[in-house]
Amino acid sequence: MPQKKDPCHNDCESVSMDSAVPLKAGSGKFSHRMAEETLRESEEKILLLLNSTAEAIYGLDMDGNCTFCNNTCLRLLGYQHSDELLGKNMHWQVHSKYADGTHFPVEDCRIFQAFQKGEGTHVVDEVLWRSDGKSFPAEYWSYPQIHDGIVIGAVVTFLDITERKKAENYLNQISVRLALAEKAKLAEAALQESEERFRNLYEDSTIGLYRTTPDGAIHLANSVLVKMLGYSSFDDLAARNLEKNGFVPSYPRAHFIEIIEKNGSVKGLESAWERKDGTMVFVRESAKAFRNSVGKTLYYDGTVEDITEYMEMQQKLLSSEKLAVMGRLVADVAHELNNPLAIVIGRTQLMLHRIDEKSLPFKGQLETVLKSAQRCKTILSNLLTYTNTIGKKDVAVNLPDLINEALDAVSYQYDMRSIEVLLNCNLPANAEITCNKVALLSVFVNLFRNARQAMRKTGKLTITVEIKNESQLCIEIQDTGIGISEEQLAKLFQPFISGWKEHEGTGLGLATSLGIIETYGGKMKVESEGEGKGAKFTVLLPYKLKEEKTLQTNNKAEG
Amino acid sequence: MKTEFTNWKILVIDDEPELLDLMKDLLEEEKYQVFCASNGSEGILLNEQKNPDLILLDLRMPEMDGIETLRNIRKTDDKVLVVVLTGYGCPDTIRDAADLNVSEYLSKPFENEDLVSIISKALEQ
Repeated sequence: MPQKKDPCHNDCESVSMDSAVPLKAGSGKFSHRMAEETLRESEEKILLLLNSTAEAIYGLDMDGNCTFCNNTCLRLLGYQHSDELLGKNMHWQVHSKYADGTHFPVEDCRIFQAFQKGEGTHVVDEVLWRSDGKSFPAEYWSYPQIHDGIVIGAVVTFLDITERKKAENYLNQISVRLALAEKAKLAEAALQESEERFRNLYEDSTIGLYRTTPDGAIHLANSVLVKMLGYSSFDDLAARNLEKNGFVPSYPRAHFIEIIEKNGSVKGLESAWERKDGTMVFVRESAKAFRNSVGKTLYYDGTVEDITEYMEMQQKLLSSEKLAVMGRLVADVAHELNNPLAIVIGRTQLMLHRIDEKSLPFKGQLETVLKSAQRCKTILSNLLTYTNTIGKKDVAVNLPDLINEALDAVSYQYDMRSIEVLLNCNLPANAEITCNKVALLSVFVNLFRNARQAMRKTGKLTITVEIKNESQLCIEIQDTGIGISEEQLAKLFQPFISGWKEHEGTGLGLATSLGIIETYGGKMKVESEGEGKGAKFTVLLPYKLKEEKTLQTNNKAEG
Repeated sequence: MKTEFTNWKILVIDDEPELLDLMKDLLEEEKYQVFCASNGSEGILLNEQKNPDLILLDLRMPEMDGIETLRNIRKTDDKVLVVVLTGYGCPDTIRDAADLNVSEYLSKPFENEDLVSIISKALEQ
């Protein structure tokens, strides 16, 4: 409320609002009666004004006693007549307590303080007390009355601001609620975002995450873990109780429990778990025990890595290392045997060469010795050829080139000039076999050497290579040699049984050849119409078309 | 069966004494003149002294192996014929000898007749 024109801030004395107290009359030119009339009229006008205003107004003398009060003042304070207030100390009457009922000493009253200093004051945060003992929030202004430079009293104007206060409170509440609602919304959004981040992390994790309890229940498991164990869904997995199953005797859960209870956590524990279908998966596990305030374990939170592939590779590596070491050992031993064996064979042959009538009885025995020694030679040769193939990696092999290489190798040892060699290769240029090149080469060398030997002096060797079906290709080796009897056919692929006479069978035996072919998922069979009718060896090998591989790579790059 | 010694001289180098003996016997049967050395250095010396037509050389020998021996011989003698004796499954060593002018390879244990036929074939060239 702006500063009002104070109706009494003039040279008048304090005015009684219902005109009970006479005024000091001014001296001078007017007759006493005229002056009294004018005064009365003025008083009446002022009274009218004072009693028609909506604000409550009262006056105070220097002692703080009420000198006048208007109707609104009476009404707001709950009094009927100004006599109830006039002459009373207003502070004690209406202003003696704070809103909470505690005592309000007059020295602290701002009205009192103000007009002590000759100043006015404006207060909005106090209450005034009604006649019925109830208080109401009020806004008041006080103005000092000054006459001839001296403060002679004060006028106080006040309003009941109960409604205003209520409205203010209500507004406050609303804005507080709004602010809270805003905060809540923000918090919820943040929570949702955080939940989503967590869920993404949890589900898209590259390793399995879980929460289990000491008594074997599964509370949480992310999709990686569910899949790792071969279940279709979390619920499917959660049906399992870990105290009953899921672990194998060699890696019992008790071991895990022991470590985690002792140390509070487990780091990099390698063990094997059972999948839904009973197969094993090797895992590396780290977990922490979550305990309550009294130290009781509530649950285990852990991560799991599938290391099955890694373990298999380790095994392979180990066995291939072992194999390589063994291979070297075997090769060394075999080489050592070459000399003594050469001596036995050579000397026995020489003796047989020099047999005369006198030593004829010994011929048979010498022949036996020679035969045995030559069997040793064959075994040794097979062994050394095999050890050559150990430790060599599988590579993509071009079949026509390999066959030609094998033919060259055989012709180096045997005169192939009298043999007609026909190579029919009907393979697409991108057909590929992946295998140990040395091993496969020795198989063909073996087969071609056999064919050559079967053909004694002259003959025809026909090699046909073609696609058999979408997964296998076929190599046929047909010779026009001495053929194989039914009896021999049956024993042909048996190890260490050589169909050849004495020293003719050398190099890789058919049994070893068969073994190599079967290792690569292939098959080998032999046919012969009988002795003198030649023989046909058929080798089947799995193959891939290089085109397919390129296609796959392209897809990967685009996807 | 030959009755007289031929003019052919053969030097056999092998660290296995009994094998050396065997080969000597075998080749002398065929009426070749045979000299024996039981290691690389001896072989190099004998080659210079006796000037053989053909050397039968074992690859696997301690100290100086066959390849080194041959390399040394070839430094001063590129004429002498060489037949190399190998164990089964030694493709690498054969590769190593590729530039040393080897006439033939024979793998141990060998058949006596194979040895004889290879040597006669080599000498006939």
